[in-house]
Amino acid sequence: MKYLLILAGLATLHFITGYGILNLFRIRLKLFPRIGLAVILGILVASMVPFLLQLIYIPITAGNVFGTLIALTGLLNIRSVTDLKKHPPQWTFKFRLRLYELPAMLLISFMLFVSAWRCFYYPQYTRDGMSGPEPIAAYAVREHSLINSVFRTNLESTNNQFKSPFLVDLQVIYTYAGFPFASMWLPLLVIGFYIFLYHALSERLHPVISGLLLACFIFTPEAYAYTFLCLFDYTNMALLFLGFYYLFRFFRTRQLNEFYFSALLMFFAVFVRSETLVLIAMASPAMLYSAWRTKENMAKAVLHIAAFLLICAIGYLLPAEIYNNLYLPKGLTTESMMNSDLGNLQPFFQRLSDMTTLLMFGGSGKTLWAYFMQLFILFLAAELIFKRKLDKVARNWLIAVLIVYIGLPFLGYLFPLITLYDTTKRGLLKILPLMLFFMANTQLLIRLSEKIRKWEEA
Amino acid sequence: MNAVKINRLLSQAALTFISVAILFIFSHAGKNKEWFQKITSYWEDYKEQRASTASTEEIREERWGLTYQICKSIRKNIADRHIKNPLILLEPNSYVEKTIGIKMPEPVVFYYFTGLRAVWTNASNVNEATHILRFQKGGTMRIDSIASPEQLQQFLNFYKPYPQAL
Repeated sequence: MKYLLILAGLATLHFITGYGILNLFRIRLKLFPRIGLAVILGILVASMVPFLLQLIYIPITAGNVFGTLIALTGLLNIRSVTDLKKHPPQWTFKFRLRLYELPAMLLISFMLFVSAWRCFYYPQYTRDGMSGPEPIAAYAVREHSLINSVFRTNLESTNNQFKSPFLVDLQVIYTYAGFPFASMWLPLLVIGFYIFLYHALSERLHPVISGLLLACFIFTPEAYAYTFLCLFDYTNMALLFLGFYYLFRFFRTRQLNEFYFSALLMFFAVFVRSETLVLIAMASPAMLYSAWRTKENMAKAVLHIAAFLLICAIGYLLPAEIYNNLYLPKGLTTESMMNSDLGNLQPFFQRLSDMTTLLMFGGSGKTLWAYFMQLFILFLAAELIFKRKLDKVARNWLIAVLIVYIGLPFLGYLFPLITLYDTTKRGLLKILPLMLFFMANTQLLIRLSEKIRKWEEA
Repeated sequence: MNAVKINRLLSQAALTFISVAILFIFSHAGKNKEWFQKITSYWEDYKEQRASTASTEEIREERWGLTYQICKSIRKNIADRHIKNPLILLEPNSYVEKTIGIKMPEPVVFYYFTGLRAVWTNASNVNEATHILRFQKGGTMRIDSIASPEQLQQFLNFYKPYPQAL
């Protein structure tokens, strides 16, 4: 009970923080996806607090961390408060849950519950967590510094101390909050993500189909495992998806607030995993094309895209260049990890081939993703054969899928340390929600949804 | 209740039934069945763990297994002998695995478990090692001080054929 109360308190704090950001960007959403997205944003803001304190050499104590977090939440909500004064909220809230939504919801809730319990009950277990973020967080709580005695041990067997402070920060916050094992932020993020996904899917699809698609999504063993294995990849996947979601909304609405909100989400995605910057940069031709198609002033569009990329680049520069090289005792330059023979493209094609044949569709494919990849191929083929033309939104999601599909082997080629069975495999999590939204925007499912709606209303 | 409402209710019931049927078939199809059984076993774990009175420390021991328990006994051994700031030389895992069938954690995890600094035989600061942790067949463990640089060199020569590994 004690832990439930603490969790409720932290979830509320995250929600208020995120609510402020959503208001700052004038992002309009229905109540439930708003709550889901606000909690995710709140967690991300929290994940930067001990790191920012460390950058200005303020001790990482419970008072400093929570004080700063609360102050930040207040600052981010100034606009919310002024808006509330101008337009008092109308608390009319219509909750309509139909019987047919329940089966998929109950199944997903069950699976998320057991995953959340494992997060609560067990300590961190993964090697990547144990050989970097976890000891750094544990000693940060004792020594009030992220740069603590762990860095005086021999770290030659690992490079996990150089990974984003995102995980360390959240482990510190949740340890200070009183959890024995501090991974409970992950279930909050996962639940928020599922709520958002369900509502985003239901924008165009009938809720029965949304529920079934979401069930297919949760039935990907590798992605599900990372709902309780506390690492970077699940969060990175969620943020990259959300970034694309708002970017593609911007392609339709041309509302700059959505463009920069997407930049913020992508910034967080890069903060969590720095190599994501390469994938985002690969999306810039799509941004340019969208501006050209809508006959926008190209000079202005280029400036906005540059600003977008700059925002994302800060997410890379802060932890990977400034913190690692100027703050940590022994730095790690990106150049030192780069492939020295960039003229030889063979490793790129080799990785592309291995990723496709070994990880996605080969022997490990079904173990990792169950039938999700096959389902995607089936929908893609069906759409091309029967409809012969892709819906605009579906086309955007397909571009995003291609960016990750080409981008992951490209990263493996740029950085030989990126191994096939670890980093590339986990990187493939990023492709899943993009595939999901491609399927959700196929004419086949949209027409089927319309037919079900008509039949239901008849 | 008018006919339209009844129709709607019937169509909702039909959709519910279809949804249940699809989910049932999907969760029992091929690989999904085996995997979903694993997830349902997590529910059994939950019920057991919810009723359990295991302490945080006992949960750590369960999760991290024998190596964590060994690390705890090393910490106790060092504390009981009042050894201050040791730097412990760890045997290569290929050797430990051959001797007692387990692997020891890498130095940073060893520090997390014990609060004691350690080095591998191939570490750049191996010459600073003050103690050596050795396992013998049968599972006995010894922590000895390293008397001289020559003795350290003898140890390193002995472990040379055994590559270090996670």
